[in-house]
Formats: sequence, structure tokens, C-alpha cells
Amino acid sequence: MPDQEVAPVSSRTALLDAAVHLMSERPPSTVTGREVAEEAGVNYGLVHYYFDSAGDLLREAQRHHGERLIADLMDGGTRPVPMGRAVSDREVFGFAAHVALEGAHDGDGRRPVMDAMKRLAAEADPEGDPVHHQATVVAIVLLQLGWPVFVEHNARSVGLDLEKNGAAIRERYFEVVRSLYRSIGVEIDE
Amino acid sequence: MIEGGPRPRGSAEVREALVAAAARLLGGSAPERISGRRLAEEAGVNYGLVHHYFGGKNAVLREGFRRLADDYAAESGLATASHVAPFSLRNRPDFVRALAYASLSGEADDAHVDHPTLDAALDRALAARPADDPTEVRIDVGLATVFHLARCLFAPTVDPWTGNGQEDLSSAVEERLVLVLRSLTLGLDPGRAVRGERESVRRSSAPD
Repeated sequence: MPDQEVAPVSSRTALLDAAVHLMSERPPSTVTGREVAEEAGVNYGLVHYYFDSAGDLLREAQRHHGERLIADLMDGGTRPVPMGRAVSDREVFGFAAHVALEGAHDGDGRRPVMDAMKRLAAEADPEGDPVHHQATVVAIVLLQLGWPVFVEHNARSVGLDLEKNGAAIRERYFEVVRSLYRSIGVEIDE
Repeated sequence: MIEGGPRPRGSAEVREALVAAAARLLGGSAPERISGRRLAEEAGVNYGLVHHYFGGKNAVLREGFRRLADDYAAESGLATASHVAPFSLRNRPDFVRALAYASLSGEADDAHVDHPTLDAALDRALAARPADDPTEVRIDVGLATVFHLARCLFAPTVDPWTGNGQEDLSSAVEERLVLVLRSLTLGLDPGRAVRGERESVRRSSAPD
């Protein structure tokens, strides 16, 4: 492909990446088109060149790009998100939580990540009970989304010290998620 | 503000209008995004009164948070120690969202946000597990509350997917989630709970 074809595509991707990054730190409603352009290191005009509006850019980033990030973590949906990434990867899960918080998911009921997890369960535990499989997927997804939003605040509210107890909190969280995955016959990477 | 209503007058009315406005706004946006002017506008009072009565917007937001927490505690039965339904915060999405926004913005701690669900769950768990290490109980309750809050906050994400539109399947899944919440609070094995087992409460002194 000639260079002049490649450059615009990468600016568009840079804008989407930058939007995801900013939305991993704060809710979509607080992010402006100018901030995204600045973060991406591209001219603000390109926001309107590639997208109808800054809002469209953010929506596009929420719907497709975010799903792709999580699918990448799951190797295209063929294995669970590795444990360490699930707690430390604020980029992906902070983003997912912010997007869910502001209701970008209200639309069509399509949940490719949850579908991929259900397929993992069906393959690993073919005779299993669909209620058990669905509840496991939902429980894991809720724990993964809830972690970046609530864990620090909750830990302090029950009187724990994050410096002192952080490792024990992570350990118990790992044990919980590992046990949920194991119930459907899936072993999870650390 | 309530359009056409009389403007709040006098200390008590103005304070009340500002706190009620804060409680309404906190469910819809991050606290750092709520300006003193926005609070005044929502309350239908002059901006200067925010400072006059509260010294600044943060004190109003703190009171607004307390209002949300108190309303929830009263409604859910927490305040009267009667039976509290699992996932009781589901009926108060405004409070859950306010907690989420405040937690994400890192302002929850500065605001000393009241968290009645967590306090009540901790008291119950400590009473149910007298022989267990209190730090372990605190960790379990902290994670159980992450699960409780996530169940309520992310309902629009997971609910349309759950049950493939069949109500009996959805409610069967919901029962499992309640068992998972219980097992998290009691430090049991969530892998057994999600299969529908209701393990008895662990006794640390009992042989494994």
C-alpha cells in the first residue's frame, strides 16, 4: 500500500487509541475531541475528517475498539483473560467500566466477550448446566468490571490498608476468579 | 430545580435545596464535574449562598452523598436492622452510580463517603465468623461488596445478555449470583456456590 494511504489510517487508529486511553482514566462524558487529538498527537481537524463529530469518535472507540482490546487479551476469545492483566490492566478494564457506567451498552444486547467466555465454558464442560455456565460468566465479568471501580475505595472503607493488605486482597481475588473458572473446567493463566 | 416552584428562602430551605440538588446531580456525573454554579442553578438559589452556608461546593456534595446513603439505608431496611435483600442497592441506581463516580474520581475518600451497605455487611460477617482472622473477614467483605456494587452498576451490561431473553433462566442465574455473593462474604468457595451449592459457614476451629 502506498504511504499516503497508510498515514490516514494510522491517524484514525491513533485517535481511537487515544480516546480509549482517556476513557480508561475518566468517564466518556468528561472527554473532549480536542483532548483526544492532543493525546493522539494529531491535528484537531482530523477528528472531523474521520468522524462526524467528537461524540461519534468516542462512540466508535467505545463500541468497536474496546471490544477488540478485550478480544486481544483473550487471544481472539480462545482463552480467558490472564489473571494479572485483569487486575493490573486499568487501561482495558478501567475503560470497560467507564463505558458501562455511562450506558454505551444500552443498545443491541450484543456481548461478544461474554459470548466468547460462554463458548469456553461449553467446550471445557460440554455436559454442563447452562445456568451454571451463564452465572459463571456473569460473575467473572462483574468481578472484572467492578475491580477497577470499587476495590480501592471498598478496601479503605472496611478499614484495610492498601499498602499493607494489597497483596492479600489480590490473592483472594485471584482465588475467587480461579475457582469460578475451575467450576467450568477452565484453568486460567496467572 | 422544580420549575415554577417558589425560590427557597431562609437558611433551612436554602440548605435543604442545595443538599437535595447535590444528591440528584451526584448520580449523574463525577463530583469534580459538578460546579458550585451548577449546584446553585439546580437548587434554584443564588451562587453566593453555596459559600455562605457551606463554605464551598465540596461540603454540599458531602452532604448530598450522606443524603443518598441515608435514604438508601432507610428504604432498604438497613437503618432498622430488618431483613435486607441481597443486591439491595439495585433499587437505588442513583446511589450506586454516585459511589462509582466518586470512587473512580478518587474523591470518595476525601469526601468520607458513607457506605452503609458495607458497614452492615462487615458487622454481619464479623458476627458470623467469630473465629476467623478479622483482616481476612474484611478482605472478603470488601470483595463481596465489589461484587454487590458491580451487580447493581453493570446490570445494563449483563442483564440483556443473561437468560437469552427467557425469564426463568434469568432468575435461575440470579439465584446463583446471590449464592456467589453469600460465599464471597463468608469466605467460602464461589466455584461451589455458582454450581448451586449452599456451603455451610466455615468454622476455622473445625477440622478441614
